[in-house]
Amino acid sequence: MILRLKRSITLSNLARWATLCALILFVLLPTFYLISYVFTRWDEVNYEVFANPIIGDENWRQIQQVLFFSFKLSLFTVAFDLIFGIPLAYILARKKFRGKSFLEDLITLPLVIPTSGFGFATLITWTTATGIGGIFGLQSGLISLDAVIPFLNIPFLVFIVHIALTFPYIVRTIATKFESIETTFETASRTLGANPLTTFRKILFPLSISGIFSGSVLAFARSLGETGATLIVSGVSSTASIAIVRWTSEFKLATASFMGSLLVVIAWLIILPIEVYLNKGSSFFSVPYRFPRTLSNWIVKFERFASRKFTHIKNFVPLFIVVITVLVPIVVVLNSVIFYWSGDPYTGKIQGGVLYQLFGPSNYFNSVLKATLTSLIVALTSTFIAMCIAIPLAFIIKRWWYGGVIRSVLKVPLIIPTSSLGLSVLLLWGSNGFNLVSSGIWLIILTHIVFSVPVIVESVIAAYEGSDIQMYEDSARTLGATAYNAIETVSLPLIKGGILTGFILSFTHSIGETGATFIVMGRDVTVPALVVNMVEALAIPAALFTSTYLIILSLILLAIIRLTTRR
Amino acid sequence: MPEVKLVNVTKRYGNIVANDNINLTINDGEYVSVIGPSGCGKTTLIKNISGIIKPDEGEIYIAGNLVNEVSIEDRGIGYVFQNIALFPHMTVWENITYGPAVKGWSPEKTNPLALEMLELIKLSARSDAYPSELSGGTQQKTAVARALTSRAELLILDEPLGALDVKVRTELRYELRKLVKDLGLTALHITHDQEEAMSISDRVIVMKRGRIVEVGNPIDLYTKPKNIFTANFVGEANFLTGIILKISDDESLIEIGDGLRLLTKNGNYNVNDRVVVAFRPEFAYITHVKMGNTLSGIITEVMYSGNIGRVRMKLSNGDPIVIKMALGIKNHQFHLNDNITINILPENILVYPYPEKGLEMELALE
Repeated sequence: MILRLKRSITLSNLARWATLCALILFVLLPTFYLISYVFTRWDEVNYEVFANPIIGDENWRQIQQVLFFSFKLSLFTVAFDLIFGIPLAYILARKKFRGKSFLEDLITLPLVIPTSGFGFATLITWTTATGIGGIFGLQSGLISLDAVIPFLNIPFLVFIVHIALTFPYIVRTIATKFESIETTFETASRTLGANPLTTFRKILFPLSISGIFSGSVLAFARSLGETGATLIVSGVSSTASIAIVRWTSEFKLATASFMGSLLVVIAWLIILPIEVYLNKGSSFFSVPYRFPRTLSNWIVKFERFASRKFTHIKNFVPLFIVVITVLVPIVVVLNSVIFYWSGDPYTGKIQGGVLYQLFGPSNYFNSVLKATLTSLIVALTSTFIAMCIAIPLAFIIKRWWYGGVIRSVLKVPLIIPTSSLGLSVLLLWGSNGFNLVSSGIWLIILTHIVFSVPVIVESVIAAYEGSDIQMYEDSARTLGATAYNAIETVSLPLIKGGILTGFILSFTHSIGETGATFIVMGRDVTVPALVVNMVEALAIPAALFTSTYLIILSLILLAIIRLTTRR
Repeated sequence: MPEVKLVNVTKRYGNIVANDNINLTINDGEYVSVIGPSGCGKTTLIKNISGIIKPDEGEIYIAGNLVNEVSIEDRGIGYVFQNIALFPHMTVWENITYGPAVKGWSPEKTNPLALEMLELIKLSARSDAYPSELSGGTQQKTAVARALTSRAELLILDEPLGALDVKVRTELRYELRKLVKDLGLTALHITHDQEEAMSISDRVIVMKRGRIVEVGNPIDLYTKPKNIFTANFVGEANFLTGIILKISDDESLIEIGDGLRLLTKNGNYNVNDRVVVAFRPEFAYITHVKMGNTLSGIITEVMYSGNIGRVRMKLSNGDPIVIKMALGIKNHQFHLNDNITINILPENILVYPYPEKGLEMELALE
């Protein structure tokens, strides 16, 4: 008896240490390697960035420029998201209406659509006659690729893409927070004489400030790291993530890694205080802001007026934004495939048609099939390996004192810009580091494991916290089950839903990932990376077909997600 | 002044009629309670009055004004919630002055009023505390004060004591009534605790399946309920079915089976009518003389709860009944299977026509 007990303790210790080692090797080391690389190779960095004999500190000036642009873009994106996302979140959380679940799906769509496909859809929607321009009878697109938003000095298309891709994080996080707040607080405020807008400002807003902050952090990080769609719509402008991709492909590894590190560090300096504030446990906002009474009376009067007059604008504008940034591009891309199917509709040349490009001399169809195979192998393998690490890890996080630390460290791979991550993995495993794996499918898998582990861990933990696992396991133990038996027969079946959700999220993320993949893929091209290659090769009809293919693939995945999570 | 009047108010949720053609007047200064089983529509009723929902049909008047289209914040209602709903991010003082603040009152007007309210609930010393630092009872008192500082004259209390401990609940209900009466307010109090409603209200409204079943003062509702449902829901009652045997000037004789007969005061029936006879367990007393209005049976169960003895017995016609008596008066010793005889005064027996849908249906809570 004692012998058995001892053996099982040793075994469980062994399993725990194995999991932790895998965590460090496959997740943490690749995440943080980039920063250490800058220190160990400081001479190289210094030579390339600050003291190049030919161009001097030209690279340093470029780094400052793209960093400034990236942060400006992310900040304005988040600000725009908040202005229109909060009303939308409120509608989703508090109102019942027909088509609500369709709207929810529409908002979620950019999370599952591969970004390069989505970027391409946006591109043709705005800049070609097959898009919105055609609706207005124009022979060209509504705007040109390098159109810039006045004052902000941000390229229009980049801004649109970033909004569409970050909107779901803001809306979903805040809507969930709103839902968790009882409506009686708002009713109480109303009965005490406050109009709906004042009620929102004084009650719901302060109570959901933590949700608003965490949604903003997610959206900010997502915007900073966005690569796939930006690569396609950016034109001549460059964000930090794209510069990393470019410099890596030009073998300026020192410059790329230096900027990647700066990006991660600055992002952390912005996000960390917010995370600390959120983790402090203060669930609401108690900032001692007080307007002078005349001003506050004036604000209340305005709110009272606005509550009556502007309700429809408040409802309509966010919906319009979702439709124009998400639904329209998808419809346009689907429509264009048909338009371009047999030939270029404007010149009539069959070389400009989908069929010719797929099956003609360039034989893109073969590339699509090959890329699909690569994508599937990558997604399945990386998700499987990630699950082997993540499921035991979730249990360790819930049961050991250092679990909280692991959990917060695991947030890093989620907010690190994807191209920085790709670069970091390349440097770690490639010829500059361990020299074990070179660019190609295995390196893609190693990269995808890094972000899959945290995704699965979070879903499993959510399921774990959702049902009282410890109690059920304890009662199984009192009925005579061993620790292992209890986990196998009680805990795992109970968190099955969470594991499934994690699997699907990780799988879709892996299928759609572009930024990091682009850096580490070598010759093993995945489907989203193929879209980028096609656009760069100006094979527009082939890109149209592949984007449609990706979008349909992700719609199917979304349907599966809905079927499995809404039972 | 806040007299509340509802005319033909109906509210539907899909196929469910939550309020079915409600007509009701609550007088100025009255303390009215609404009781009924869960799902009877009492919450819908107050939501209609306060403006949280809009009725599908009918009119609602507050102080003589039609308020159907008036939004919540303009109805001037003090609303007290079961889950208290003090704003967790504001102190007691900020909570209490919230109404004046959003209405833009001057501090000269607000502060004395708020201080007075704090004084009233004896919480002046803790005005800087956050709600989470207060006990449940104190929180609810603060919520009442918050409603009152906003100068509400109509107070809607939505199961205000439901979330509190039993002891606090009993104390607070008398404080509530006193407060309402002292300040001359009108109050509409929703509860599922019929004892609470009976002990503090001027009038009690009994609801069932979206309709008002009966309205009356607590004593009448208890001693002379006009409705079988009320007799069952308010307090406890024994129900027996019978047939009118004989009718005299103001009394009728009812046969309830196996030769058992009861004499009752109510005479508004014809011979051979099928009726339901009801009486309260505590209105029966044990006797040794088989004279007058007596029933005999065998004791099947005895339970003591403190000062009250509760005896379940089976009559010779097979019907089970329950009687209650205060202990210590005669020092009764009850033994199972003893044969006992009870007496009920004719004026304590209630008679109802036998319900069309059957007795079970009529008594059902849902």
